[in-house]
Amino acid sequence: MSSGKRSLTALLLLALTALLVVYGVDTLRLAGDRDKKIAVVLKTTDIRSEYWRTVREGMELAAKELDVDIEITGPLSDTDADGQIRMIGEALAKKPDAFVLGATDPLRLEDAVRDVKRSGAKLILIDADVPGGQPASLVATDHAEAGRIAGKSMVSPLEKATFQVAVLGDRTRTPAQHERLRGLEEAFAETPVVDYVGMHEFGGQEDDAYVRTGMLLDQFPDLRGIVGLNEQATVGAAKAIKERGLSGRVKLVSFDSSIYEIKLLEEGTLQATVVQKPFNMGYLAIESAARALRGVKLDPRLNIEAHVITKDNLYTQGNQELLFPLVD
Amino acid sequence: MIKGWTADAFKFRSIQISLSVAFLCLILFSILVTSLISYRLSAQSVERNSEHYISEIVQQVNLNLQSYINNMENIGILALTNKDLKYYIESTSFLLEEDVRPYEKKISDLFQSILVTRKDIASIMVFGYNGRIVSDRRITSLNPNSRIEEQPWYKNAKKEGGRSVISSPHVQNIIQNEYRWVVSLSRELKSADGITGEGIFLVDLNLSVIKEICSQINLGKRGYVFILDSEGSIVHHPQQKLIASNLKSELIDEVMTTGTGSFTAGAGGGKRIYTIQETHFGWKIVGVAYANELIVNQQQIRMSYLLWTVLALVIALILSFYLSRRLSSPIKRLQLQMKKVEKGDFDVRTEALPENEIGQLGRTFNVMVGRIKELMEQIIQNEHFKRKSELKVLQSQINPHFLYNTLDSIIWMAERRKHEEVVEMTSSLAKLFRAIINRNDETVPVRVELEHITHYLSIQKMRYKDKLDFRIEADPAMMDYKLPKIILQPIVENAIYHGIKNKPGLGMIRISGSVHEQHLEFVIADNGIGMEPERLEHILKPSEGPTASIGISNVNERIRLFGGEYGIRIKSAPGDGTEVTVLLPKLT
Repeated sequence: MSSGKRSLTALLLLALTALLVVYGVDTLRLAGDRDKKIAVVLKTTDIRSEYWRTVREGMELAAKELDVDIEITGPLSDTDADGQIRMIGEALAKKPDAFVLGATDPLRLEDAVRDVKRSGAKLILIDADVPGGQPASLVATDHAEAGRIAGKSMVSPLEKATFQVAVLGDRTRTPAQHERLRGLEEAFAETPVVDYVGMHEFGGQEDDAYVRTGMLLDQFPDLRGIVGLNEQATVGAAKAIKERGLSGRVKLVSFDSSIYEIKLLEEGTLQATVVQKPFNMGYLAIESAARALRGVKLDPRLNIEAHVITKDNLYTQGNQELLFPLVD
Repeated sequence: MIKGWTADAFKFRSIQISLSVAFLCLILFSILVTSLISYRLSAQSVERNSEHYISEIVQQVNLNLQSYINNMENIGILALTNKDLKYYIESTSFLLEEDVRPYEKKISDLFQSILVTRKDIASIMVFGYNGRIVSDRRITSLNPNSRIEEQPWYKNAKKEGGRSVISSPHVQNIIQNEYRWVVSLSRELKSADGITGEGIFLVDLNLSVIKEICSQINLGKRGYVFILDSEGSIVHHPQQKLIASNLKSELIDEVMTTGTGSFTAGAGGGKRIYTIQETHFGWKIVGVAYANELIVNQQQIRMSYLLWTVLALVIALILSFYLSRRLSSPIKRLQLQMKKVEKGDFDVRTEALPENEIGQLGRTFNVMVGRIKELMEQIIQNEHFKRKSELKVLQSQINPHFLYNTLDSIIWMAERRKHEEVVEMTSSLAKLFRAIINRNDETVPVRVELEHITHYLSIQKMRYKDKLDFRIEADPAMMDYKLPKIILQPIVENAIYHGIKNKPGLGMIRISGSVHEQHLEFVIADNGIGMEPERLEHILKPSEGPTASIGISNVNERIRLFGGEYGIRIKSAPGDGTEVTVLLPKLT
């Protein structure tokens, strides 16, 4: 009879183990990916920055769709490198599995990026590269390509006569501007009708650009095209062109789309502007991170295409979306 | 091999295990079947419920949207019926330049009073074909670069001639420095005759209202709601930007062809259920839910089913074990008793038997064992009796030839007038017979037995004359011990007939008796022709062979009745004589 009792106990134990195993496996299975965390440190979380708000929107949509955990932080000011470095440290303390970073000042972030890499988290850089970062993927606009597109949009296909074109940029020379200029120069070199008169620097303020444009227009009376590398350059140049009644005669091409640039487009002073797709950048950054976590090898460089907006296509469905992001 | 293995695997050696397995299989089967069926039923109901739920949600979105659109239309009607507005834009009205402004203010006040209560409305405006413009703002500064006549809402309203038109979402840029995402409801205002158009009335609804309605909807983690207009372009889609840049696609064609209803798309983890509702103003509201998320519930159900099934199985296991043990334990007890019987214990009885077939079996077993015991005892008694009677037969069995021969010898001696020999032989014969017949006791003292053998040998010696001689040497200490009757005579008879009779010359028989610690010993030795080993072998075996050997084997058996250590040993070789050793118990 004792053998009977023993086997009864064994049976009970067996059943209990089976129960536990089933329960454990199921809980584990349900938990699964949920544990994977993606930390995001943006260049800025300033709600006035439409660009970064849109990036964030794209990220949040991707996170919802892919069912991953993301935690987004970032300094209030897009120049606060120290704040960003501190935030990277704080995010790393939570031991994320992947790290998405939009660098404020790439040169000053080298150490912080190295820390991220050392933590073992998959690194995805967005918007700008960081020297020595060697991320799993860099998700950014191809600014050189944007420059090329801008350069091409300066020239209408019917243009036969040669005309002079100048580029206006400030002294900061951000990597983005640098790349844009490179793309522009390439495009001009390929277009025989363009007589490129070079890149001209201005102080950095709108007024500086305005003054510099006036000087340029005086210096090159036949100048028929100006490319503003940033908003200040464009708005300042537009002011000078309008003042001299040269709207339409001097073509102005710019990058990005502030409300002022849009108004300039509407009124025809601005010929075209090349815009980025921050929503796509945010979405693809999170998608890449999620893929990296699943062990997929990523393309080291994921280019987000740039898009030309002119007065004519300003209000098409897709471009409205790009230019007037509807953010909550 | 495998077949053999499986066959072996199902041949259980214990009835309890067989029963357990049988119970278990039965219970397992029934539990699995019932769980499976009920799981499927509840999974189906979950799916039905969630489909119902989605369509309710989409319906809700539809109602919300419609209430907004209805409000806009109501505002339109309000404007239409306003006399001031009519007069203001009527081409036939003659308003002096100084009168325009008060009219404008009045209408503007009306619009403002509407707007105060409504956050969802971005603006209300009227564009008279006569060039007069009035809005909800005191001073309407229009964007000089926007061409109102080219805007879709304007063109479409004009085309529709009096019916209201809902636009797709767009950025409204007609007011300077304002770029708002709106949905426009526009309508042509008619003159008093109801035919001539006088202007366009516009109400802009903030798109964020629609986005909010849609984003508040919860269709699982990944599910979403999107809206298409009558042409199939997207009014709202959470992934609008991705679709615009071709990073994502949506099943717009399918939705457009389906109308109100639902369909499923994708497979595996991407399986989605599209639920579509058409609104009366031409938009399609589509709820998209991921099947595996609706089945989040289903997964929980599966989980709890699994757990309950496992629990039920555990109980079933214990139950089947307990039941089978209860059923098989009386059988086991019976088996144990039978084993005892097998070993020869006929005193066992099974007790505490249940009132069923097994109990009956046990009782029958008891009766059977009792009967066997009786029979055994009877057999033993019979055997004993048989031995006794056999012994008697043997004791009385004096070889008739011996008697004839002896009598012949007496006759022969009488004829030769050898009176002394006749007397001697006859007296020996008489004494011999007295020893055999008269004593009714089973055992006799050694002395008597020795007398008996002496008489026998004397007779034989007279008959064989020169051929036979004998000598008896016995320890005087043994004379009073007892031994079974007629032990020595068959052995001596055997020695004469098979050993000495066929031997040329004098045959000598020596009988010696000695007392030992545990037994008495007689040795009967002759110098006859001896025996072949084969003969030696079956001389001690009963039943077969000549009568004389029956005698020896019978003697042996009778001695062995006293114990296995007693009996007869024979040593013999052809030409070498025979020596028979008899070991006997020391009986007193």
